[in-house]
Amino acid sequence: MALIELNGIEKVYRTKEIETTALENVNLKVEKGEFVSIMGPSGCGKSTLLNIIGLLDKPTLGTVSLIGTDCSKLGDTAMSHFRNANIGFVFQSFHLIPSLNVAANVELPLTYRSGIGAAERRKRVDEVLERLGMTHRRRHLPSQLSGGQCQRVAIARAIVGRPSIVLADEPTGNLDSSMGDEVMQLLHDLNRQDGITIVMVTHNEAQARQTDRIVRFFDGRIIS
Amino acid sequence: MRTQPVIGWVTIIGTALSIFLIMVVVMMQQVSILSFAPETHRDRMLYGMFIHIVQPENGGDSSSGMSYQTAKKLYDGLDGVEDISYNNNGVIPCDARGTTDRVISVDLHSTDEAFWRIYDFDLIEGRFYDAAEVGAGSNLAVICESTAAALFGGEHPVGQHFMLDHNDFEVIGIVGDVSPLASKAYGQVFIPISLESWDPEFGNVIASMLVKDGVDFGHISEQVRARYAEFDSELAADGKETVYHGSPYDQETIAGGVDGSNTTPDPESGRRMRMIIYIILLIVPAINLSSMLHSRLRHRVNEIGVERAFGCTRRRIISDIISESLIVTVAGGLIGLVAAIVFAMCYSGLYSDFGDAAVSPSLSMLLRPQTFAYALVACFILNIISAAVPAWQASRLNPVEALNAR
Repeated sequence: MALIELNGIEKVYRTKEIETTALENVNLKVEKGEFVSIMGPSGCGKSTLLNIIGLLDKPTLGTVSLIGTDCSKLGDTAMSHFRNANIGFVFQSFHLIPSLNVAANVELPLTYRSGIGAAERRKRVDEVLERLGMTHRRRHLPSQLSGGQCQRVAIARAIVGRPSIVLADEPTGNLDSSMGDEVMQLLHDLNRQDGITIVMVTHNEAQARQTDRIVRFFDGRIIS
Repeated sequence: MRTQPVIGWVTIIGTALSIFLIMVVVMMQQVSILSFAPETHRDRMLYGMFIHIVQPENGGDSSSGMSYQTAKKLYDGLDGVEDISYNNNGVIPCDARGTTDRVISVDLHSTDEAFWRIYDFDLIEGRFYDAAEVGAGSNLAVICESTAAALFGGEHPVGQHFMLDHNDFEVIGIVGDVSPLASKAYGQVFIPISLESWDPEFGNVIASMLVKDGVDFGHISEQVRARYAEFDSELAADGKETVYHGSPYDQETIAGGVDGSNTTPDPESGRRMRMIIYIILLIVPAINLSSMLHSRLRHRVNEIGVERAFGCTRRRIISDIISESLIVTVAGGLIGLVAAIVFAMCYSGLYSDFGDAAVSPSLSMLLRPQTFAYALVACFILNIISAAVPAWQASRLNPVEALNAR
């Protein structure tokens, strides 16, 4: 069974005057441990698809199945718990909380999980910060970090809860090429060493070619 | 606070101001209702204060304080009353001169011997006058400590004589100073009450009753109504009758103000007015605090999106925002409470009918558990009113829109 399975996904945005179809009959399967890139021009629906996989948005039609669970039937609270346990997000603009230091930002997903005490949270945060080479920055605020460091912290936050799936929305889009390469290397390490399934939206053809599979999008449809 | 210190501080100061105003009102209410020495049994006190007599045939209408005889007729020997004191309603300013030869103005309170039993005076030295001395109209006085110091300097005051409006009195006892906030027990010089009156019905006497524990005030009022009826039958011979105005009054009614001898006090209206004041004092800042919280949350939309993405539930968003708001509200509330206490200590006159009080409200009078409880309740209400709507709206944010918000 595929880890991620989308069937007949449609997403239509309606206003009083206009109806916009963002996704149309999207079917996609991603196997456990795959690293999949989603490519396509701006506005073709890549991020919408990622949001639907990440249970941040609901499709107008179709079903989303993650790790064998039909997520279309989950309520808001159950969806939150599911996200917390199984999905990590890496955003283009990092989305670190400016008032929290590095350690607190990384700890964030664990604070929403019951049954993990403060000591265990601290241990897990220390582990991922060390793995990502950010231990020395644990007390720093995001404003005191470089873009590459911010994205490392964002990746640490995404994996601290040990999710099965990491969704990365243009993770290197705000970084220069060397920092972008570093971040890509980290994602590949996570994929290979930890078996984390990664779905990444990118505009970078070279980075996409390094992944297991490229899904190309155009006008809300998968074209290849 | 860290990311938006100005809005944070404005919120704290706004809350502090609101709590300060509420606490000033609460403390004004407290010192007029709650028990403190010497009025340590305010919850069991009833006061028979005035008499209103009309003559329907000729339109005569008189109302005033009672004579000693009238007070005895209406209030003596009631079932359920533990003790009763007949004393003058309030104090009379008099000139006093002691061995220091300095003339000072003192507040004179004329009382019977039961006065010393129903109130809890701190007898520092000497003794109180007894029933026989009251009956004999003895020129004996119990005076307050600070008055003793003013009249006799460093001399031992008990046994000394002093002039009170040209009459010679002997000091037999010294009591601790009494706050004018204890309006029914207050005085600086206490002397035996005159049992004579210039009028058979009217005078300046009140009946201060200490009701037995557990006895319903309604039971006392019923008996007093019956006494009024008996009194009416006495007065009927002269074509007179009484108008009953709900006497005796409890402490809350007294605190709310007994406007005159010919009106019926309405403690309910006082309660309503206080509630309206509390509501206004809570609602107005709550609206401001709510809009400031809205503003703070607008800057945190991204953050809420991130929290939702990583598994934060709507309920958690609401509880987090209300908790954060509560911390700010409690911080503001504590500042407001301290400010209210400092204000009360500095401007004690506001709490009393006597203007600048000789004895300010003590910290123990103001710092009661009830005061903290009221402050805490006010903080919670303020917090819920101001934070509930913004928190609920934040919890309903679409995570994707929140993440994409600029």
